[in-house]
Amino acid sequence: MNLTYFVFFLFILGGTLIITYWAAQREPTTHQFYSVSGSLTGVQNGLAIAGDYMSAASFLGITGTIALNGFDGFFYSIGFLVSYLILLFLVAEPVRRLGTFTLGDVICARFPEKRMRLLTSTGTIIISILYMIPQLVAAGLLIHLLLDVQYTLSVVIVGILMTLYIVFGGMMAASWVQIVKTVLLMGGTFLISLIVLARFDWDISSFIEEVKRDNPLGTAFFNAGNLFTSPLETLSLNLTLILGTAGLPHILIRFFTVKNVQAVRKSVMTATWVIGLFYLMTLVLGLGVVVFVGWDEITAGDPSGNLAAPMLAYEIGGDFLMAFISAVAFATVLAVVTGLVMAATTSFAYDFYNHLLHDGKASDKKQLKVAKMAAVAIGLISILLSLGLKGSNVTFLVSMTFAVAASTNLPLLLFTLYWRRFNRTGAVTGVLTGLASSLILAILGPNLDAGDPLIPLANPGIIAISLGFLGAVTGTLLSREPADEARFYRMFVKAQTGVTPLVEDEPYVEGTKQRVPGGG
Amino acid sequence: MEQLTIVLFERIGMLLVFAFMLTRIPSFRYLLDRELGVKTIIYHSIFFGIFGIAAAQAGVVLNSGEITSHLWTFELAEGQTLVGSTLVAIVIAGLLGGPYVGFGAGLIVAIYLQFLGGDALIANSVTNLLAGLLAGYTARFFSQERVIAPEKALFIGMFTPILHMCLLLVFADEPGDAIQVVNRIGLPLVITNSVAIAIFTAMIRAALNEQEQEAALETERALKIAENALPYLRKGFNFDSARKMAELLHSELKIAAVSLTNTKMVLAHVGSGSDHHQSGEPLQTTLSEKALSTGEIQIAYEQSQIQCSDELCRLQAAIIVPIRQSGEVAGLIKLYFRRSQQIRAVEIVLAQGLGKLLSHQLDVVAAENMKTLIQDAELRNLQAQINPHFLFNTLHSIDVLIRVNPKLARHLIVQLGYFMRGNLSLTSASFIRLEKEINHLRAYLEIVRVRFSDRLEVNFDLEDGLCEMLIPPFTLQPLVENSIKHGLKDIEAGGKVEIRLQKAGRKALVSIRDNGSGIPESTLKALGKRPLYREENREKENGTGIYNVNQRLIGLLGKEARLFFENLPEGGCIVSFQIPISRESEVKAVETESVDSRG
Repeated sequence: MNLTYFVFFLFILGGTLIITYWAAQREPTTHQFYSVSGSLTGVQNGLAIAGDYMSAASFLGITGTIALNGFDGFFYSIGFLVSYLILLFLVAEPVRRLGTFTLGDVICARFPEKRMRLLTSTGTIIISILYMIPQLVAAGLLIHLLLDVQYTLSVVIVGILMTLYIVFGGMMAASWVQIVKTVLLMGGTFLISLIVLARFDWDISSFIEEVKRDNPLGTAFFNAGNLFTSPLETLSLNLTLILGTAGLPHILIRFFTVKNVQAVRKSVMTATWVIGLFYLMTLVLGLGVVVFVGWDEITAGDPSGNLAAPMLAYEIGGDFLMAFISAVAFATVLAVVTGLVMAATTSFAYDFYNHLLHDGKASDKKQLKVAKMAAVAIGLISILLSLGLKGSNVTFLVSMTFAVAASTNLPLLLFTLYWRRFNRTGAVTGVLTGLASSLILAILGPNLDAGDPLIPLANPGIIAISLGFLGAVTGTLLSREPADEARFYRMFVKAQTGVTPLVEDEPYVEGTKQRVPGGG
Repeated sequence: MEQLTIVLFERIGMLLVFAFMLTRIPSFRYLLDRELGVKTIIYHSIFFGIFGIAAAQAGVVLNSGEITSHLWTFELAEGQTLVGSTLVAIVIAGLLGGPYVGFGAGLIVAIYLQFLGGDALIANSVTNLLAGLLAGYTARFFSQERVIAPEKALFIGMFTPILHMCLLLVFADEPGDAIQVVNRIGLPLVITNSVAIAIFTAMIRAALNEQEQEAALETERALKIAENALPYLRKGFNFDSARKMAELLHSELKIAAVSLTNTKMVLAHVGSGSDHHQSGEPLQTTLSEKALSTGEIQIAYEQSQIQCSDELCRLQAAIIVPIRQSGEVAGLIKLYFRRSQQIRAVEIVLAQGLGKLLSHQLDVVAAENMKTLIQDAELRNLQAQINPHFLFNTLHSIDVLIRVNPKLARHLIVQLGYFMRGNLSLTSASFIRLEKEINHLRAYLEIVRVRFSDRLEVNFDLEDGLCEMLIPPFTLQPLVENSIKHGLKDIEAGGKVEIRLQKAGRKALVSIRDNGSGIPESTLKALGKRPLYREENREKENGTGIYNVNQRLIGLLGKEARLFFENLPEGGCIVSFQIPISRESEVKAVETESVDSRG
């Protein structure tokens, strides 16, 4: 391994471990572990959200896709970015006002029942692990390609690191690893973009002319239709990406790490700006790859074009810059998987152990112990699954996760927050249809080489999401269970204003009153 | 690459040695302590800018790929690049002083680089300008510490060379050459710069820690003095206590001399010059008067301000600290020094702190005295209570007797007079002679005996030689009254009350025993411990009477003098207590002392 690479990796490793050590000094309370005691500022949390969100798929994958397919690659960027509008306008603030640590809190604010908590908790853990696998697989491939470390070893290293961060530093370590990663990623891509543009003497039009000359598609490179041939496919992909984010539990729990709702708003806006600017820069990077790396060379290292960005760095800055960009990519992977472990761990320790097994009365000490054990277990499971799924298609897994999130969590969340008539049965049927349809459609789709695919859509989101919403509506309407309108309005007022309305009857204590749903 | 790293480390090592020496200079530490303001920013910028110029020279010249070492370069030719460590200085400026200081230092270095010339001027200048700014903002974003932790500095420090390399690439005229240069110098710079920044941060932390420990020691000293001074302060400001306090201050502060004054004269002077600075001298200096009138600390930096009578006095400077009691200036502490240079900011702050602490201590002592006074007043107020029912009953008896037995009625009137007079005169003192108390009791018993006639028999057994002993007034009568009222209330005839006062060593044992119905088990525990109010007994003075007696006994004579209640197996009950036998003369002495301490 090249010495430069090694030094940079050591720096990233050292930096993140210092953060973890520093976080481990804090008071060991559940509040601190799950949500940094709400002590982050809006901007810090915004950077952390961006760090949580911009995965290696965004950085390396989109650069490569843009370089290979032109404008169609940018569709991913658009989808990933626009999803933040839904988060900002519909989801972020109500989630913060109703919840304490997890999505389960939000759902139980309307349906205070253990069954509902189990449903959301299971959903959270499934989505987190589903998302973790492609990240780990990608990390393994990436480190293998960049550092020439064996795939297995790289997956194990990343897996152990992410577990360490969570076990010793909890949300605090996760947040700061993510913030550092965002700063690094933004700084790195910004500098590379500058270098690329400087090579054209800051003349963008000559840059674009050069891109047109250097790629086999010519002017068509800047038009849609190179990657997604059918409009339905494009629509489906965008829908999945736009709606998926609001259902990703590791993004949603980030809203609990700030002081108040204003800070939540500020963090979503910061994240949106950062992510938007980042995707603009990936555009420069992608086009730069075409010019400096050469269109034919992109797929030389990795057929899917994932190495486009590091290759560009090598062409314009030699070993030094490539080492830096590889280190940034390494930090990127680490930050995302750490956030995912955190989401799954919190859900297990807080929703499952504390609320389901101990009626919300488990002591801080026990919860922390369980959380740490859960983090280790989740880390281990993810490592094993990623090792087993070595050859699998990363893009497929990522888009499947977005489809699962968009068709299970999103209908549940939106209907819980905004539909007066929604009830428990609808919640259950919605989540189950969403989960089943997104998984089945993905398996039947063209991504798995099973001959002639039953569903021609590579991104079946449009069907799965519709089915998820439809399942929830049907379940609600068919069940004879009456809608508890009083409770809905109480929750609605609290979700929209933060004011808890006075309750006439006895306050509900979770686990003491079990109403039987009307069937359906 | 390895060679370059080692060369750079060697040169930065020199810089660090220089920096280490700087941190040992007191005025440098003073620079760190200054509050942030425009002036400080400029000072810091200039300081770190100069440091940055030195750091620029602590590098190597890259001459078309050749590394040449040098002592100091004045001009760079075309094709030459100075690979220096300016970023170390600038990043530290940013980390310590914030973004503005970082920018200022970067600006100075950038201007210097313009004079130096050479290749990659734009990239180098822009990097220097940006690095300080970014380091400043990053430090604020990541840490709230005054001086960032070395490991964080190491992490932040590695990114400025990366920025530098990227800018070299951005502003490169010949991209191919720039890539080669970057590959050559990039990693060595990243490693050496970040390590140097971390080491420098650690040095500054160590320097600041030393200073803070010094301050902590001073604080500890002030607290210790205040604690040790408390016993003397309790005795008030007199010659004796002032001398002891002055000795304490002199030995703890290790200064030339200490004197203590009240508002008019010197109470004590300890240390140098005590031959002519003597206690009892009136206060004369203008500064002392000023301290007394304004209540603010005064400092004499010259001998003339001390206005000493002796020309040869070695005391050249002084801090005069006023001590307040309940808001009024009660005296002064004067700390004398041999040279005015010995008065540092630390001494002044310490003196101020001491003044405040001692003033608080005096207030505490005053508050304690006030508390005892109030307690006294309360008790006397209670003592003065006369039971109106007793008065009415007696008057009623007299009214009846006037016709039947005028002689007895007259006797009763006389006894009532004695009793009332006793009530009035008894309340003025904390202790009275037992004889007086017994006379008062006898008058009471006389009245009661007439009212109850054959129902009651009172035995009085007083051991010889006790008449002179002192007893709190109103101790016996309420207890006897209680026995008669409650012990005998259901008894038609043959009630007996026996009052006995005996010597037992240095104590007198007092017991009052009746043959009545005894005390209910439930009341037994509470009796005397808290006031009792019973519905059937509207004369609430009974329950409170006993409580009052008990409290006074405990308050005046301690826990050993408290009341004991016991039901007797043959019926009735016994109330007893013991008090030390003391004569009038001894008690007088104690009382005067306690009055003294209030002053």
